[in-house]
Parts: sequence; structure tokens; C-alpha cells
Amino acid sequence: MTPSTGRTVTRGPGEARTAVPRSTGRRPAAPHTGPEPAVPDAGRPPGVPHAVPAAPSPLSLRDVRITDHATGRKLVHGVTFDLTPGRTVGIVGESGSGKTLTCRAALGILPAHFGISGGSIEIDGTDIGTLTPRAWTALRGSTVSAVFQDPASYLNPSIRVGRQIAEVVRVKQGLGRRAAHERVLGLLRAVHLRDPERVQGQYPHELSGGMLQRILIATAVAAGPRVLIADEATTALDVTVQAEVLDLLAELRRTTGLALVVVSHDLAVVARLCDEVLVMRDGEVVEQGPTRTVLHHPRHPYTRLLVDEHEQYGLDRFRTPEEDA
Amino acid sequence: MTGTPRLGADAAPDAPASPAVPPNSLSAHGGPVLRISDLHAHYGTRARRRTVLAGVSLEVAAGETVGLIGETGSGKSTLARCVLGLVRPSAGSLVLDGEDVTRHGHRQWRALRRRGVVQYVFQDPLRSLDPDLTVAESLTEPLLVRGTPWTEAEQRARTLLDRVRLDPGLLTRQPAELSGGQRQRVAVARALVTEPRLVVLDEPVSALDSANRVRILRILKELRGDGVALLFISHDLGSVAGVADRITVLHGGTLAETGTAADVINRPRHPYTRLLVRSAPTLHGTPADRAERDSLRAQLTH
Repeated sequence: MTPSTGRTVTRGPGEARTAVPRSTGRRPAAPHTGPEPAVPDAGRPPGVPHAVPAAPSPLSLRDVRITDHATGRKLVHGVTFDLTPGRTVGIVGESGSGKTLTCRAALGILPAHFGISGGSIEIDGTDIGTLTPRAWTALRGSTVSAVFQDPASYLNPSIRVGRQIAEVVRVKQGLGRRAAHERVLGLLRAVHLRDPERVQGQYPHELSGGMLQRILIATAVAAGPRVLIADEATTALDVTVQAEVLDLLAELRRTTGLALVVVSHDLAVVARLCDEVLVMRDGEVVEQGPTRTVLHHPRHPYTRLLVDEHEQYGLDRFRTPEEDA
Repeated sequence: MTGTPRLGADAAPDAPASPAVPPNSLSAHGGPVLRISDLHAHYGTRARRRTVLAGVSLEVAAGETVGLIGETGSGKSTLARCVLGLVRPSAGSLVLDGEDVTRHGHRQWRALRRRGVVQYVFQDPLRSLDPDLTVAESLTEPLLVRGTPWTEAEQRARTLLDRVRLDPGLLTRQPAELSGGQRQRVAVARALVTEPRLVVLDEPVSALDSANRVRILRILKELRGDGVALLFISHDLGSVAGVADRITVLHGGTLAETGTAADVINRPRHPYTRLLVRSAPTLHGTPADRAERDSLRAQLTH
């Protein structure tokens, strides 16, 4: 995997924590975007060194900027958010807004010649700028993990799905063959797949998209990560299957304290899962705050546009005002 | 817009040389543009026959948008393929613009398509656009084969690009040089170039982000005034609800429910429709939890 190359700004962890998004050179910050997160964030590490050390945030982004070094284009202009166990942050925006790039930066898988050009990302209190490729490999899966839109392309078509999940737990957790098998069945049960014994022996092409996405989620959480990044993970699914997967993510979050980053162009998905939402456009966070505040009382014109469009060209078109209560 | 289109050799004699402006708000024969009655379709040989559609009926009138909602395996794409003459129904009838096309063979379908009675837009615009053709070629070809002069065809291509809000500078590009959203808008323009009576859209916005999704839906809404009938097929309840006048819900190859969009969304009668509507997340309101979904599922017979 590509380590984040070309970092031009490196900050010490303490400094990064106290850094607030700079507003110089950017459009005026939307009212929700303040130096303080609008939601009280209990797990946020204190910026003062002598404070009682709290558990570090599993994932913390501070004014992250991403540049395509081949063209010199700045693609992400400052993203800041903190995750605490069980917390869910949503990122909405159209393609090209930088939401996926931000996630890839947090996973250490930015495309070649893209680099973090400012700000910092910390995973479990460690600045990712200091991570070696080896350290990344150790972190991925066991601390940060991800699921993407098209589950079939992340599975080997010629290997039974059970073996593919088993490989993760054998490598990441050092389980033996039998223990790994048991763990796989447990994971498949946890993602509510009926008849796990049968499913684990099947090949990807024998399973539906919804089943594959559940298997991907099972694989992603197999090594007990603290953060799961779900990038359009339910976009391609049937509505009833999407409901199952959204419930599953909410359940994992509740029962295991998994923190989530949910990237979606569907405001309703974000509304369903997230505590906090970031609205991105052209690499910029135009509005950020508690989900209900941002989506029900948007302040930035762009967020208002997204919400209006959603209400006009979606299910909410037929909602009667009484139902909003 | 075009003047009087010259009829090509293939054009059926009953096709009126209808002027483009103003468009017909009624179908030539006065009835619905598409009438599907008790349609059945099967795949496979007799020994391993699988029923995909088991008695589906629906109508789409001129200027009307009918949404067809169904999940994987509901038979919605097979129905689209029947309407486009790509799958032959095994029973029932299919009447397109007053013509019974149920038993049409390949040649008759080709003639129909060449006349541009029915057009299509698929999820992947690369399936409805020839990757080797420029946008201009894709848009003008259906007219040129009918004998429309080049200048007229080119003018029509420009008009349509304008309708789907694309820059005429894109005329010389190939599909690979366009973004996904631009490509899908070209696919919509291509579908409209022959002034079809019916456009079948199979998951037209499912691969697009929200901005492009709304762009396409807005364009489709504007088409209503033109009198073209739209059959909008999708698993995405939200997109269908966003444009459809009426909604038909398919479940396991049968028709679960049909009604006005507002009725189907706000007062679903069939448990499957309720399951769909209650499963979809919305900005307001609370979707069903697992227990409620399970209880709705339990009411389904298949």
C-alpha cells in the first residue's frame, strides 16, 4: 500500500490536537463550522498535556488537506472531525467533493502521487505520518477498516467466502484453523446471515449483493477494528437489504463500540446513522454539525440545496407535515 | 426542432409525419402508449423453466411517468426487456402505440425501433451509447438512417444537448471522455432524438451521485409536457417517488400494488409495499425496525 507520501506539514500530536481549522484563504466558515465541534465530544482528547490522559480518539482528523502532487491541485481543503467509540460521522457531497479521498487518507491508501499536504490524521493517538508501511498493515483491519460500494470486487471469485474471512482472522489474530472456522461462523451469524455453515462454503458468485456486502462487513470487523469506514456501502443494495445493513452497522456500533465514518450521497442514510455530518463541496467542508441540526435546519446554501433536492426528488416528496413531528 | 422528418424506407405507412412542435399530447390512436395485459415470461427450457413474470398488467399514457418498483428478482428488468422486444413474453399481450407487438419477430421489432417508437436508457450509459461514436454521431445516427438531412439532424442534436443541459462543445467527444453524469444525460438525449412515444428507463440514476441524479430526474419531469410516456424502472423507491405520477410495485414476478405515487407511498396497502416504504430511510420520520420488517415479511405469501 502507498504510505502517505509528500507530506509537507508535520505537526506534533499535541499541537495538532489543539489546532483549529484555519479560515484564512477559505470561504467564510458556515455557522455550524466553528472551532468547537457543535456536539459535546466526551472522548475528545484534551489538548493540554498535563490533563488526565483519556483514551485517544480512535480516529481524529485535524484540518486535513490533500494535494495531487502530479498536478499541484489541492483537492481537500481542511477536514476536521473526531471519532469516539460508538460515534458516527457522516460525510455527504457529490462526486469530486473529496469525501472518498478523505477516507482513503485515513486508511493510508491515497492513490499514487496524492499526499496529505497539511493538517494531521491520528489513529489511536498515533500520527499516521510516522507510520511505516509495516505499521500500516498492522493497523488496517485491526484498528481502522473499511467497506465500499461494490462488494463483489473485494472478494476473490475463486475462493470460498469462508476461507477469505478465515484468512483475515488467522493473519490478524493468529488463530488456528479450527478456531478461525468457529470465528467465521460467529461473524456470519453476527451479520445475520442465515445458515452460516452453508454460506461460508459458497463462492462469491453464488451469493446476492446484500449477502456479499454483509460478508464484507463481517470481514471488515473480523479483527475487531475500532473504526469502520463505510463508503457508499449500501448504495447499490435493494431497499429492504439496505435496511438490514444499516441496522447491522447500528447494532455493531451499539454492541462493540465501533466508531463509524459513513460516506453517502444519500442524506437519508446519513440521517439514519450519524451523530455528526460534514457537508463537502469541491474539497471544502461547507457545513458541519449535529446531523439533525444540519439536515433539518441547514444554514449553508449548498446544504439547503441538497436538502431541498432530496425532499423534492425523493420519498420525502410525499411526506405530510404532520409526519415531521 | 426538426421540420417534417423524411420517412425512410423502413417507416411504417401508418406512422404520421407528425411535426415536432407542438408534440402530440395524446397517442395517435387515443389509448395508452403502452398497455401490458397479463404478461407472463419464462426463462430456461421446459425441464428447468423459471417463471419471471406471472401475469403483470400496466398502462402508461402519453405524457405520463409510471414508476415500476421492484427489488432484485422481481422481474422488473425482464419486463423492460419485453417492452423493448428483447425478451419474448410467453403469454399475455403487449400493445405499443396501438400496435399489438406481442408476437412480433426480430424484423418487426427492428422496424419499430428504427421508427423510434420506443427508446431506452439503461443504468450504465455505456450500454446505451456506442463507445466508438462521438456524441454528435450517437445523437444524429437514428435520424440519418431515417433520411433526415445532416444539417437538420445536427441542429436537433444541439437542441437536445441543450435540453439535457450539456454544452454543445461535447458534441465531438466520445463517451469515454465524459463523466458518468454527462454520459447518462447524453443517453437521455439519444433516447429522445427520434421523438419516441415511450422511453423505458431501467435504473437510469442508480449509478449517479445525488447532483447528477437530480439533474436527470429534473430533465425527466420536464419531458411530461412533450407527451412522451416514461416507464421508470428502479429498485430505488426515492428516485421513483421523485418523478412518477403513478407507481406499480412488482414482487416476485407479480404485481403487488399499483396506484398514484402519493397513495402508494403514503398509504401502501400491500404488505410488500409497506415493507419497501417502511424500509427506506427518509430525512424525517423513523423507518421500521427489524421486528416490524419481519412481521411485514411474514405477511407475504412468497
